[in-house]
Amino acid sequence: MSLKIYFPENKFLLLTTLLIFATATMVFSQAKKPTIMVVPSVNWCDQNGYTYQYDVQGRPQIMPDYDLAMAKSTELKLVIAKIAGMMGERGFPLKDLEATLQSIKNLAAEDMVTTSRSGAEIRESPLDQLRRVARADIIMELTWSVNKRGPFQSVSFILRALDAYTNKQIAESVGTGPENGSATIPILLETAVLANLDNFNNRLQDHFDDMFTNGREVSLRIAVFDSFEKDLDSEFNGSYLSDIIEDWVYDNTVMGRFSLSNATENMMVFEQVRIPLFENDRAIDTRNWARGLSSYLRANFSIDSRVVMRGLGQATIIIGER
Amino acid sequence: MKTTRIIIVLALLAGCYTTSALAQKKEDFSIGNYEVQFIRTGVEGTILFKIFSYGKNYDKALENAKPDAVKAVIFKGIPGSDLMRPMVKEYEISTSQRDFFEDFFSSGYYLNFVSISGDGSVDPRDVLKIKRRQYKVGVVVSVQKNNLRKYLEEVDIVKALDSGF
Repeated sequence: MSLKIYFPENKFLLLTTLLIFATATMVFSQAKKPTIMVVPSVNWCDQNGYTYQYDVQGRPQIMPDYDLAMAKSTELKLVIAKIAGMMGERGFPLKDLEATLQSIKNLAAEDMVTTSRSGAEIRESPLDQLRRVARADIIMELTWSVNKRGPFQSVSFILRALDAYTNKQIAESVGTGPENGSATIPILLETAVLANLDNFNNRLQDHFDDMFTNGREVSLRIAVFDSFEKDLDSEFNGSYLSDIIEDWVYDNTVMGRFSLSNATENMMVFEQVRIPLFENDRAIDTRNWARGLSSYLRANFSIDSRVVMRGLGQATIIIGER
Repeated sequence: MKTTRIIIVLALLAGCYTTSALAQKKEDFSIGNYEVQFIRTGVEGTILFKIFSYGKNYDKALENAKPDAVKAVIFKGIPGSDLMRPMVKEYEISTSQRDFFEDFFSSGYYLNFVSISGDGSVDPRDVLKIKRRQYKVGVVVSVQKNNLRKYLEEVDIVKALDSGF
């Protein structure tokens, strides 16, 4: 009898608890969302004259001039806006190239004139200056060309997604639209975007599915400050430092997946390192993960190190100083 | 007494009929038998293709065209288009999802996402009599693929691109 009386209340309590638990799990187990930016390819920029050149040891290097491309090409703006709109609908608002470039310029201008009351300027290392470029975790690289045959025109379209830190192509969509004798180039481009983006997103979805199953693929580089008196082949508690690091990486990757692509006494390069997306219900990125190794070295072997990051996917641990 | 017996027999018959009707309804949902021919990507968010449906007569085959078109987009994909891959893989459908699709198609909710293109007339060349009681009819349909995907994402049938982030 008493069970019958109290059962509804218990059920309510149970449901409430479950609901709170489910909500908490949903809130706390969201992986870090990668940022995506659409940029025109170097090939497209070169074909259309939006590049600049500089010499590196006597060899000319072609660099895309995104500023110039965004200022001059209406077609580029149209395609980027169309892709951004469609990606936004799928829950992935894109980082805007033009706004990012403008923001970088504004920040640089503000930093130049910002001083403290005593006249001190904002401190900026050469590394900080180098990093002041438009960045995103996934780059959607865009190329198109217009094909002409008599009065007919068609558009060939290439859209590639590149993981900015592993440099792997993670999605692509390639195609040539139907020939048309009356449609303008912007219409042909719009049709090309509409006809290619779903396939592209399917491949992007595969990449995300793989990431959730097998972990996020990142790379880790170990370097040594020249002030460090030992090197990676030195022994600590009876083991080589390089082995200690490799064992830690093995223990802290999803199913021990990684490849050590290069190792000397001064550096180690780990590639295809699959790090978990969560640790203790908290979303982690490469920085959190690499800091784990840094803390482990300090706590167990009194080795100081510095973690230097490049976006979500690439970390360098420099051993010797903090 | 006789009346009571009649009532019991009728009740049993009704019960059997209801059970068999339910079983029939359960069997009604299937991925289906149809062919598709991609025409072009339509206005934003839509896809235009010709669907060839089967039926015991012309009207039945034509009636099957709309649900078949939606099933083609969801379960088979449209070869040659940007929807080559199905939204839902047939072998991955769970029991609860099967129940959802039974309701989705039997309630007619799928009609929100499909329409016959043009004035609805059928090209006589696309009407084929296969057997004595089987017709094959081809009709051009427009499916609102974006809205359909969004709806299936909302009801947790299809995973959204940003799910997990």
